[in-house]
Formats: sequence, structure tokens, C-alpha cells
Amino acid sequence: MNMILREEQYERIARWLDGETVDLTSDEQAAAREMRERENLLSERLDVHAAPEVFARIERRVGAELARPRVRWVWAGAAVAAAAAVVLAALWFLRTEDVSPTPAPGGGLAHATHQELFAALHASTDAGELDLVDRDLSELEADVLVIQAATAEDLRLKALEREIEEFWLDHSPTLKPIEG
Amino acid sequence: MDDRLRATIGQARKGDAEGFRALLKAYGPRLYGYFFRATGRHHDAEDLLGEMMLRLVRRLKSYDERGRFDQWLFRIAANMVRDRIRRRRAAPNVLSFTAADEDAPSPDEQVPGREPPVESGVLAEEVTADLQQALERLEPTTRQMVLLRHFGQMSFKEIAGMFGCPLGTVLARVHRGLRKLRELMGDEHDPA
Repeated sequence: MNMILREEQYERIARWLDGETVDLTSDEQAAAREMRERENLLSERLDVHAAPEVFARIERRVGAELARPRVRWVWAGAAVAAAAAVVLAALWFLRTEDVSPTPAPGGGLAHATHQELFAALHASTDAGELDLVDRDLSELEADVLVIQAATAEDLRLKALEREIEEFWLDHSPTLKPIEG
Repeated sequence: MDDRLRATIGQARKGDAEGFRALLKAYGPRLYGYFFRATGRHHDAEDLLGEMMLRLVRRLKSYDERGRFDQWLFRIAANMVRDRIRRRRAAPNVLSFTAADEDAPSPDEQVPGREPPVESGVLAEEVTADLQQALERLEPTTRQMVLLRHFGQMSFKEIAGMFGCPLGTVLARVHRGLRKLRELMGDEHDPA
């Protein structure tokens, strides 16, 4: 059927097809029927089924995206915990060694002040082992700094990405027709 | 919005992978179909659907529950398709943009060495190359409107709002588009 319809007739038919109550003329009813038939016919052919592995791959991408920030925090936490463990090990090492040139009253290192511990550390004759601990601490500190720096950079990138996306969505309230 | 969908969205908003899996299961097939029919390539369809899901991971918090969820999804999807088509058109020495006539070859048809729509991983019985070729000969906006009606299950009013054009214009375009599709597919023996 090749009837010519005016813009306002199309509008009335559209409203009717959308479910509004509109009194259509016989021409409009015929056009509406034709539209519905053609849409139904097309609908039977349009659906496309993707292979299950397509969805499996997408699920993996989503899983990786969800896991990403958590993994970073796990690594940062692990590095901090490792650094703390090394510090504790160093303190334990100092406690078991007789490193104090002038033992504090009461005889135990447990009562030594920080200054005394610092002096004891420097006065230690076992410089090799202390150097080793010192190096380990430095490396761990560097690791932590690297992780922190990467996280900060990622956060900045994420923020920028969000801003771009929000701008993109906020500034496209309507889809402009694509020029043919 | 029904309670089940609200719960699924809530779950996904908390970053629960199960919530996103449920959303992918519920909307993935329709979105995939839309992306495939709009781009003509399974590779693009998978890529766009993956990108869409990653966007959801980042943007689901901004979804306003007062609106219809699938309309929100398909609005994003339509923007992504528009950008993908623009990028394709911007590729140098590949496409001619002078064709404004609906009968002219579509940008997809002009790509040298263009892949046929049949690719591995797709069930053979679902491949309807003739329909795809006919769709690609529609003017891009009309094609989008026809596809959003089916895959997005959008009303004419919603499409008019999305494209910023009058309601009657949307219907007229879809009407002409459907007629043209039937002609191109050679089954214009309409009893109406």
C-alpha cells in the first residue's frame, strides 16, 4: 500500500502504535496495520545469536575489570605488611644482640629509649647484617612507593576517563542523525 | 522497573560480578544483535558489547532508576554505534562520503575486502546475509531507528526523544525504511 500520509497523520499513527488512545481514520488504520505487519515480519528475521564463547569472553573482561582495583590494594597491603615484618625482624635482631654499649637501668633493651636504640644501631659491630636489613627495607620502601605512585596515576587516569565519559554522555542528550 | 531487575542492578552497583553476569545474560543477546545489525560485523558486535559492559562497570552508579533501564542501555549503545560508524568513515582512502542517496552503497559496502557477515562462532542458521545487505543500504539514521524499535523495544516517542526529531518524522522514516527493506529483499508481495 503506497498511500501518502501527512506529518500529523504519521504522528497520530505513532501515538496509536505506542499504545495511546487515538481515533484513526480508515487510511490511518490501514497504514498502522501495514506498519505492524512489516515490523513483525522483520522481527522474525532480525535476531542474531552469538556463540556462547562470545559471552564467556565478555564475562572474563568484566571480571578482570572488577578485580583490577582490588588486586592493587592486595599488593599494596602485602608490601606494607612485608615492610612491617622486616622492621619487626630488625627490632627482634637488635633485641637478641647485645648492641647497647651502656645497658639501660634494669638491664633490658626493652627499656631502652629510641635514641639509645639509634645509638646502638650505629655502634653495632655487625655492620654487614645491618646493611642487609637496611637494604631490604630500602627495597621494600621503593616497592611501596612504586605501587603508591602507580595507584595515584591510575586514579588520575580513571578520574579523567570518567570526566570524558560524563562530558560525552551529558552533551549528547539526543542522538543527532548520522549524515548519509 | 521490576524488583528482580532492581535487585540485579543493586548487586552490580556493589561491584558484584554475579550482578553483571545477570545483566549480560538478560540484555547481552539483544545488545549483541543490535550491534551486529548496526555494524554488520560480529567482531565489532563483540567488541562493542564488551566495551558496553566495561562502561556499565564504571557508569552504572549514574543510572537514574526513574528511567527505563533498557532505554538507558540502548541510548549508550546507539552513541557507541554512532561513534564507531564515524570512526570508520574517518578512515582515509577507504570510504566515499558523497553518497546521500539511500540507494547508494552504504559505507560498509565500500570497504575494500569487506568481510562477509558470516564469521566463525555464529550459528549458521542465524545468518541472514540478504537482510544484512538490505539493512546496510538504508540511510544510517533510519537503520538505527528500525533497529532500536526491535532490539531496544523502544516506543516511537522514546526514539523521537533520543534523536531529537518530531514523532511523525520517526514513524515516516521507519515506515519508509521497512518498505525499502522488503523491496531490497525481493519479497514485496504485500497483501495490504
